Amino acid sequence: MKFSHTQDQLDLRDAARDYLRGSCTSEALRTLVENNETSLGNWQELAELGLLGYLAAEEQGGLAMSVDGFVLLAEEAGYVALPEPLLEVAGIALPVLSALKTDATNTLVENICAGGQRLMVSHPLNPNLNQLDVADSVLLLQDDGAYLMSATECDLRPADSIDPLRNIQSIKAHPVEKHQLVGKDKVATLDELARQHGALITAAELLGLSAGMINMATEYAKERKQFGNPIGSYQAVKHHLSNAFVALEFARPVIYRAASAVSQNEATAALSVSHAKIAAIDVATLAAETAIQIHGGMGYTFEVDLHLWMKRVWAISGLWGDRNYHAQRVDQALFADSLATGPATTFS
Amino acid sequence: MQLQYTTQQEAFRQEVRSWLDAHVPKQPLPSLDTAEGFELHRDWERTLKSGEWGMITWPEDYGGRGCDLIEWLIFEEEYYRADAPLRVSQNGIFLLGPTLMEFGSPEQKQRFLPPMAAGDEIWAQSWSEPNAGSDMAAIRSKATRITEDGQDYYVLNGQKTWSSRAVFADWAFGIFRTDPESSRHHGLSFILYPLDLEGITIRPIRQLDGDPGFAEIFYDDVKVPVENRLGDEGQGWGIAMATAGFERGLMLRSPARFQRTAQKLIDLYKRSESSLSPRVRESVMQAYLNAEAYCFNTYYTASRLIDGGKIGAEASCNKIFWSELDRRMHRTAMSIMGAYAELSEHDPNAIDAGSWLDGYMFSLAGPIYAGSNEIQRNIIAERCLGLPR
Ligand SMILES: Cc1cc2nc3c(=O)[nH]c(=O)nc-3n(C[C@H](O)[C@H](O)[C@H](O)COP(=O)(O)OP(=O)(O)OC[C@H]3O[C@@H](n4cnc5c(N)ncnc54)[C@H](O)[C@@H]3O)c2cc1C
Repeated sequence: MKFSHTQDQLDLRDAARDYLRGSCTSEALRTLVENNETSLGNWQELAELGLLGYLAAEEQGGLAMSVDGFVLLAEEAGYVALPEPLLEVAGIALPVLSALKTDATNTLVENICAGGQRLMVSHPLNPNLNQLDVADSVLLLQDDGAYLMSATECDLRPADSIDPLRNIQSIKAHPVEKHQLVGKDKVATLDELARQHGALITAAELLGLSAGMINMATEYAKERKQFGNPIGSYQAVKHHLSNAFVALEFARPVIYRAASAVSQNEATAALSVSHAKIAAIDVATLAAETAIQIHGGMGYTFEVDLHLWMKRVWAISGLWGDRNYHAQRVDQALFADSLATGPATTFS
Repeated sequence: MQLQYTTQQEAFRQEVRSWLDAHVPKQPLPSLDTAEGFELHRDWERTLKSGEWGMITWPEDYGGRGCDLIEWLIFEEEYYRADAPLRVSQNGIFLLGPTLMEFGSPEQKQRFLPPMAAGDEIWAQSWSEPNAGSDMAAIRSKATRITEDGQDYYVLNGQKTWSSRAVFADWAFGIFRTDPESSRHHGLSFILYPLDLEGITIRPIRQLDGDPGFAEIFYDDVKVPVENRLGDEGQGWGIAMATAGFERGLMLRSPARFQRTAQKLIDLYKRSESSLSPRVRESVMQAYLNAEAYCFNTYYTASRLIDGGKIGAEASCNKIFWSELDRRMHRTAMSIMGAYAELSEHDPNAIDAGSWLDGYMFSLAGPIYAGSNEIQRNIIAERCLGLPR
């Protein structure tokens, strides 16, 4: 029993952190927004850092790391509000595709690791795809099977997100037989894999966004003076921030526990993931509302960066199952399926 | 990350489980805040000692088993699963014990720890004074050093209050002003003293439930040998802060306690499900999730401590989280019981023997004792977030 990350996982997290905080800066994001752009154009660098192939097998050019370490990367991506679809491709689409292990999918996994190609999952819980390029592929999960299509074969329509750094498109696809990877009988496993990774990775990103917003608001409270003192010296302000900090401290291990359950394919993984998503939505909502309150009028503008983080929270909170969807899953386990609860049931 | 128990840990769990199955009293003991209940709880501590379960994380020399924190959490899970009695020795084993381990002389450790683990000496904590609650540095009770027949003593004068279990306990620890010229957190010393010394008067205070769970203590020229000082003279504040850290940190309120409450709440809910609104169901679910979250957080922290990490001001987060969780769970239970909620433990029709009402009252104290939650929020803001004082 050891509830902590391995040194390898922490080292890679640190490397990713240094790179992301050094490159995905406030200035870089502001420039994108001003120019109506959404990409930092750093996909190749993400590949070189090994982030794209984090979850892929070594023989496919990956690092063969597990998803309980990947959530640390997702937190870092959230912390800087990274606009690239790193998590969608490397954290969600890749593990689903890897499960298939055919020659064609193996080649695609290798290309994804090398940064040569990108893949995103289209699913009823993830209807709009972010930064989908004409060169990208789409993994379509439907009731009647899983299909692999190129973006150009799909019917794409630009959608408009409140998050200026999300360039999303709604997608309609009419797959035919040659696109099919697996049929009706085998799609359920892939579908569950996608739901679990989707909700888990999104939860970890929300955690990082929350930490970012709490940090921004704390720094602002140290600088901004009113009545002759920094506003952060006033107790009402302190207590708002402490509440958000406590919520964050207690959400984090919930996400880590779920990540471990998914990586070990535990029987209760889906339940752990639903808990993680609920905890993440709750902390991110609290952190966002706290942060704007502490920024005062400034928080209601484009003058400070907060709005980018806050809008990302709104955008992704409902992806891969909103709070209600996940609450119903927990409800089902707890009240209908008579889940064992109480001391000594948590890890057994 | 390795979230499975080893075979050794599983075997340890089985050992605890079978011992508790054989020894835990079949009927709940009367409240430890009554004279009779206190002694029955002391007997239970002695029974625990007979199986070497008094304080398992301590070294064997001091009456422990040298267990690590994961084994401690396993023990606690089994303890609450078995509905074993509350620990009347908690001020000693959870608060003073670890403090002695860090600051005590070898003689003090040998003198005080074994009887503490055995339930032979039950401890009370005496920090608070009528004018020094949250602002503990405002303490005025004095300890004046004198020499008599070649022996050095402190003479205690003043008053303490809200001292839990002081009505029935054997010993107490507290901080006193040894430097009369000093103010605030300077010039205070940490002193251990028997509660039956001449010059000590104890006045019981009735708590919300009507029992004398804590007391005022008056000191009128009470003579204590200087050997009973823990740490150096004038260093009392720093040591007391370490004790307070243990109180808010990992030991005092382990997750199993709240997981047990959440489990019972689910059961209570299921018994009256048909007549309740969906809002109640939502609160019950949230209780379960938060109790689990507290458990994950504790294992996460324990793993960090085992790897040599330290727990600092984050202990304040813990204290806020468990105390507010406990209050919310009991509030939900009260709302489920409707017109039966008022029935006390003495009423035969009380649901679950009145334990929810009793628990609700005690849960209201959680955000107050061990440093109020407002004070914890100040600490978090200043020490974890670095906001200006
Ligand atoms: C069940 C129970 C058991 C206890 N057991 C013990 C014991 O064994 N030994 C012992 O020594 N003491 C014990 N106490 C006392 C406890 O430590 C104090 O009650 C606590 O520290 C608060 O002090 P106070 O009661 O004087 O309240 P006050 O300090 O007067 O506080 C009253 C209110 O004002 C708020 N407040 C005070 N200062 C500030 C500030 N700076 N900023 C914001 N808000 C503030 C508080 O948060 C609180 O809400 C116990 C208390 C209870 C309820």
